[in-house]
Amino acid sequence: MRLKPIVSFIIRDLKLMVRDKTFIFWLVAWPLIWIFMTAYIFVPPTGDGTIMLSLGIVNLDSSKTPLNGSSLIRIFEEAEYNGSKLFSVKLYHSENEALQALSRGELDGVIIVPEGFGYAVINPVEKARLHTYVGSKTPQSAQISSSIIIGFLERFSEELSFKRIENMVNMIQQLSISEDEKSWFNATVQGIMQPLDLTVEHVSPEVFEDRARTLGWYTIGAIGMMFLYFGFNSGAILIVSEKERGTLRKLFSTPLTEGEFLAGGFLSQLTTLLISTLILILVGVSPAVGAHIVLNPLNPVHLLAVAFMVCGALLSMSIGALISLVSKTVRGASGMGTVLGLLLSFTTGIWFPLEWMPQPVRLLAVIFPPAWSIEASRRILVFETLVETLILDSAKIFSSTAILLALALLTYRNRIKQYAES
Amino acid sequence: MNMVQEAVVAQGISKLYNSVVALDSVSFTVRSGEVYVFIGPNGAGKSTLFNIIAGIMKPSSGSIKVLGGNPFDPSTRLKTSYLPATPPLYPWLTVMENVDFYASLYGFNKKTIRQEAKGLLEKLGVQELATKLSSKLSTGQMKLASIVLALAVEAELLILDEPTTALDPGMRRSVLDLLREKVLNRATILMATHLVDEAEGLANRVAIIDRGKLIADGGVEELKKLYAPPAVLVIKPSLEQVEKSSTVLKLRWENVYSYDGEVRVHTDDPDEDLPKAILILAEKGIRVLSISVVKPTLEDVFLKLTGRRLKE
Repeated sequence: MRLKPIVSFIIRDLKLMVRDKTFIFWLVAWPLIWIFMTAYIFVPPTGDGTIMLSLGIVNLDSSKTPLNGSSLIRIFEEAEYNGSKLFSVKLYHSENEALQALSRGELDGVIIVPEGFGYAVINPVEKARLHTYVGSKTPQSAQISSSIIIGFLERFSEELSFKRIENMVNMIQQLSISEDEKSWFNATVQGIMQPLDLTVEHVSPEVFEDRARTLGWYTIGAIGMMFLYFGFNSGAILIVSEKERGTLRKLFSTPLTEGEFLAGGFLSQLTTLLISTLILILVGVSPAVGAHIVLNPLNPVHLLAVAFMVCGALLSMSIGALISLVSKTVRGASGMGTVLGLLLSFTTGIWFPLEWMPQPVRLLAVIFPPAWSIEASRRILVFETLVETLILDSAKIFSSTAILLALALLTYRNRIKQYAES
Repeated sequence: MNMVQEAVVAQGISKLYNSVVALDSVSFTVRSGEVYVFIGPNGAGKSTLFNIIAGIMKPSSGSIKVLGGNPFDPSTRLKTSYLPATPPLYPWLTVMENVDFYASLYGFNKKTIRQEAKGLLEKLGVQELATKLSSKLSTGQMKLASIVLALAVEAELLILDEPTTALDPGMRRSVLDLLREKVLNRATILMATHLVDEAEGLANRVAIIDRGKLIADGGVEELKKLYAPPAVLVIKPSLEQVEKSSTVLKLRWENVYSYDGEVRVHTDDPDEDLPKAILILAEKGIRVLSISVVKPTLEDVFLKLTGRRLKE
């Protein structure tokens, strides 16, 4: 196999990458748009991820007690989590008015404080009613709104319970019973109110709390997404584009061998993908984005990540070759490659976290080799995983690359023969 | 250059596409240093035959030797240069970059090939195309650029499929001059065309191919002598009377053909037949705008052999 023709293919396609605006868009601009959207919209630099809900309150309570409708409104207004306000409170005069705003998507929830709420709170034999409506401003925030509002009110109810117990115990202490009996009574009532001494602490892995690592996760995700749609696309049109352009026959009338053509085609696409990868990583780690990605060319573990990336690109192109079996035109192959690539990058944990996917969809990631290579690269470059934990992944990634590459080459040979003979 | 006596030897070449016969037992020999031109209408099988000679497509049966070797062997293809009918240009590359790319597939020195391509563009008077992106070229310019691609490579055998299609008459002449120059440099040219004047002006030998069959081959004059009449009466009646003229003349002569607003009558004795034709047409009230006696062309040979025109 001669090197000169292979290098010529690489130079030819690099010129395409530089000169064709569509190529620049899909290879660099599109993934960068996603990276910047993540950096400035989904994980903004100033925010800490706390969500502020818009809450409408209708206060019908005119009780003159310490804890009445007005003080409840203040509690909601002042509620904080990690130093950030939890609610943006807006007051309404009637239930109807508030519900209309909720229906219009202007609010995440509505709380109706009924007349007599304040008196009911201090009356130990009465239940203080609060009517709550949970909605959401966006479909994505519905579950979050519900959890936060209900969780907050449950906690509030719990606090009231303890206050009532405290009052009751104070009253009991005035009765003429022994200290032991008082103590037993106190403990029993508290036990009835709170049978479970549950302590819940949220311990997030350090890596997820770090915005830079989150951005690193998404930067590698954007690269993976680009691998998928561009790799599928370029793999699918490698032969048919030469045929439609009228260059395939000219190529094979020269001393070029089939092996040189395929090596040239594959390596030129691979080079294009890796250059684009480098650009995306550089932009990702730049101060403009601030992603945490560690890539030291002298570190053998990092080189393993590069090898995984190369495998990811080769796997995508090989799958593209298989797409060429069902799509016989550049337009068809290109469309199918792009749509499938985007779809799979969204559902296999490459762009969106796998945890967001329903259980059956997660199976796709288990059987989809490009997802393995992206995830393994991510673990090394973003989370600095120990190499020992990657032995099984390496075996899976390298062997699947070899198998799919062999299938792709067989497909291409068949395609070349078919097109040359037609 | 170590040249073999026979540049191409084809024996019983057949090609089937599913059950459609594209080539039917085609045999011919092209001698080194000659211009061998295939003429035939579209779909005659010329391109299929050229694909086989260029080593792109395998014949269903028969054998082929190109420059003494197997055309599917890269070492044979190193000595040939093929120009397909569709310009094989990469639109995002300039003409010179296309030349560089194809030259690298041959493994030739880039500088030498560039020099050659530059010279060819100058001879064609289109040196400004060198730095132009192929996507910005007109159809004719694309054809010229592909001719340069094919000729820049110092090949022993040039396989040119319809090289002058889409070119204006001036450019056609320039291209044919370049080809003549190549022949002087001892290259062998295998060319397909449906333009008879091109074939007559360039070919040492001509092969007539129709419906996948090679129906005759030989020197231009030899073919005319064998298959064409000594003279042709070219009669130009008014446009609406062309068909009527043809019908009337067919009652008297066997080989009468009408196309392009004129009727051609193959004749062995023009001195006797010319006045007869005028008389017959006058008797039928057909108004003749012009009448002349001309020498037969390869088109007349093709008409005689197939009963059809080349451009059908």
